[in-house]
Amino acid sequence: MERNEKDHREDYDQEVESERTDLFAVESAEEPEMKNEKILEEYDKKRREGKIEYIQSILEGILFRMGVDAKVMAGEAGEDIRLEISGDSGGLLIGKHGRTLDALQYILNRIYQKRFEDGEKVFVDAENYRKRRVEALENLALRLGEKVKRRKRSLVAGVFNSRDRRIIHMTLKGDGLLETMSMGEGFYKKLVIRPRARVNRNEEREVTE
Amino acid sequence: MKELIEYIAKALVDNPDQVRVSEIEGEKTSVIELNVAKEDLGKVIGKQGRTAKAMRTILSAASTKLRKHSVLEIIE
Repeated sequence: MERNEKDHREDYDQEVESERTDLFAVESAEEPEMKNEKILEEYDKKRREGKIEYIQSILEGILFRMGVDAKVMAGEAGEDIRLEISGDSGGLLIGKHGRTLDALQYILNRIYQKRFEDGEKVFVDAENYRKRRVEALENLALRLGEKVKRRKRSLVAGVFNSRDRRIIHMTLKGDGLLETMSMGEGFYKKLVIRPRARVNRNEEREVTE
Repeated sequence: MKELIEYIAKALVDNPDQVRVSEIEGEKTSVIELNVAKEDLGKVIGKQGRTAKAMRTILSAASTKLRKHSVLEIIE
């Protein structure tokens, strides 16, 4: 008797709220494994959000104790976490050639790895500095590259960290008349741009083939 | 400045309750001494001293704002 009444009520619900019952139908039609997957996905998402919130709050805590009035926005770039600082007072958080920004990023990665050990990376930017730096280095590379071709003499572009050197190497990689190389030891190395001595044999073969 | 170093150090180490920071303030320069548990020394120094260097960079940026100079000493 009870059962009948329940069935009847369900029929009624179905008629009245067809949209809702459609949703139910889809869910019940799913394989149990699919449901598990969904739960796991949801769990991963929550965990991920928790990690991002944690490292964001650490950065906010550091900025607060530095006496800087700035906001931190958190986002994702693939597997990695991006933290963007806005309201930097006159480049204080960027520093010379981004050294303060790099220091903050390094410390935050150490703190993050200590807690989560998942190999994901934390990127820190302020006032779009990273993007501006890439553009500035690309322009520098092209300008100095032209100079080397004109004078037919090598020159030292400057002393850079590995990330900045990579940008310069990559910018001039496609130029068949130029070569770039890093010189020296340690974290900061000299980057030299020079005219390519002669056409590389492998390249010559590629062209004739 | 003391709070800044204390906050960073506590987040880096395994024994945050054993982090002790003291500040000796001079007219222009202050010295900040950081004490951590012996097994945490590596955590605040880092490979080739990179973590200590990063903490010093952050400290000097914060000090610039106050027009002061701060030195971080890690006590071994």
